[in-house]
Amino acid sequence: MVTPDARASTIRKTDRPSWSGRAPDPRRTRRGGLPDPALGAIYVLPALALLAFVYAYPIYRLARLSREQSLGSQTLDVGWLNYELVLDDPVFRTAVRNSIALLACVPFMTAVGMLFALLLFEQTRARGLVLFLLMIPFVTSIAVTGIAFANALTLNGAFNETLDAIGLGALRQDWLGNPDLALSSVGAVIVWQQASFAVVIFYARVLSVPAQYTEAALLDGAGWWRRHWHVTLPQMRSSIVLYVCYAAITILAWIFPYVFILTRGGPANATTTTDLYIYDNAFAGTQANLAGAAAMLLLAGTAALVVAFLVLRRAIRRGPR
Amino acid sequence: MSRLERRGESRAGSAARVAVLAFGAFVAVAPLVYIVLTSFRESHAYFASPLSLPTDPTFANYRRALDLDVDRWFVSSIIVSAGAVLLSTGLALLAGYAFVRLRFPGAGGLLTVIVGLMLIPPIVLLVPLFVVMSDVGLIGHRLSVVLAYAALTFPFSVFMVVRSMDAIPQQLFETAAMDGARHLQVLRQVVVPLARPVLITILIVNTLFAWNELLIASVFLQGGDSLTLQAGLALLEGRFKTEVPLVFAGAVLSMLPILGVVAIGQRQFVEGMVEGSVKG
Repeated sequence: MVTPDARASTIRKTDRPSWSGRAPDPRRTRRGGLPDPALGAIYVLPALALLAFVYAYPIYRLARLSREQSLGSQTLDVGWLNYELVLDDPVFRTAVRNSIALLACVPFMTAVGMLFALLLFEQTRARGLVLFLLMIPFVTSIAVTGIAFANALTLNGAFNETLDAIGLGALRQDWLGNPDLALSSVGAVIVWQQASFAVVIFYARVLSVPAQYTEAALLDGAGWWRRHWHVTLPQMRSSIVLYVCYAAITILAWIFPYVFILTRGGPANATTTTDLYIYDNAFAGTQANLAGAAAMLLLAGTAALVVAFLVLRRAIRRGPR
Repeated sequence: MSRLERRGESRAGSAARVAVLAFGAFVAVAPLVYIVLTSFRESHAYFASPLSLPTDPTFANYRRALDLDVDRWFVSSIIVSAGAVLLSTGLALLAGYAFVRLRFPGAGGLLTVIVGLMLIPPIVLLVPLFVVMSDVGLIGHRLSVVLAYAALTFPFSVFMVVRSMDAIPQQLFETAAMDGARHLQVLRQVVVPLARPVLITILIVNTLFAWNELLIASVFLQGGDSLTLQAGLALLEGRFKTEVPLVFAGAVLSMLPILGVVAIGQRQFVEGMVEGSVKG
């Protein structure tokens, strides 16, 4: 019977250059490598320490904070009071309503991203250049995006001036100052930036879709729409689902910078969102405890979405591929 | 693709596609072009007519922006971004190796939890994390931001690293192991070269995140000496609200490195993403 160690030492001496001159460790398994739980734990430890410091402990403090109230230097445990106050606060309700309304951006982000990814894929000339240009919104920082749009969307700003120049002057609006339009304007900026990311994601995915089905469809005379709706898209289903979930979570929990820079939640709370609500209470006001409760609620909502995603993914995996 | 055209894609279809792409590219790039052009104008010219080409292009805004600490913020951002990305990637490689090769109990579950952290909105962490950082005296220091960024980007980094390491054939590890290579050697000489596209993707995504991040930098650095570029820009915007071209000049300066990185790394970034997405 040939033992692993015997084989190893035979091969090593005749064939292979040695890495370090040491004899191979007889504990090594046949599958190579050396499951080494102790060393593994050491390798992971620094990362875990960092995560505990930045995630675990703060969330624990947050949970504590949300169930307390500070009166001067005293801290009382008040049970669920903060949660009740937050849920009763009309500003919070407006914030949640606005966040949910902004979810309407998701279909736009996805559709626009997919459209341009497909077109880009079919394009041959100047593909690199077009991709570069299409990526620009996403790589633009939120500060720059906010600065650009906050100025361009004012009543006398560049956007209205452009409308004038192309003869659509009748559409002039106070895009960010009008409470009825503000949220939609913010949504448009979000779509502008996020669709750019969608293009990159979907384009990368489309590149790895096997070409033979699409080509077969093309040979069969299928038009652009039919080809992609029936052949390309179904093969990208899991990517689409993944992106939609990413987009939804982005809208519900990561758009604080957009709102903060563009409108600061105004006018009159027309654009305030849950994360801005948390910020306002924690930093602008002094209601850190309320902010804590609101944050825990946001976490719960996000967790619910994750569960929904996992359920949806399993349902899709079971369905036709 | 040209093979589409060879198989008879119509001229009209091709023209339509180019038109739509051109329109998309225009919409994508217009705001940036607008900022760049306006940054060369003077404030009063801008207010007279927001949408005009610079008649008398001047670098005055750029000079003033650099004088107003933009250069210091720039350096600060470089330090913070580099630090955060190196920390995040280094930890991800170590941890990824541990998950894939060293296999300790509970690895699968732990990895799932770590990746799940990606879904926690940073705003939720902001208040308590600020308190924690304050308690350890890190507020106002770049280290606070570096640690926060490294932690926020770590789940994504380790996720991608594990995926790419899973694709490395066991043979290579076995060979190296049988030759007596130590783990760190294997990591450096086997894993890193093979995982290059994914590592580049991680590098670009994380640098982008760190460079563009605004909220944490603003809150942790509090307008002090270590302020990073984006937070500084926000400050500049607040202070010089009416001097739009000046603020725009600052914005353009902040975009230059990013555009450079994207132009250079674009192809490898997409390659890395393709590699990542083929596995589902």
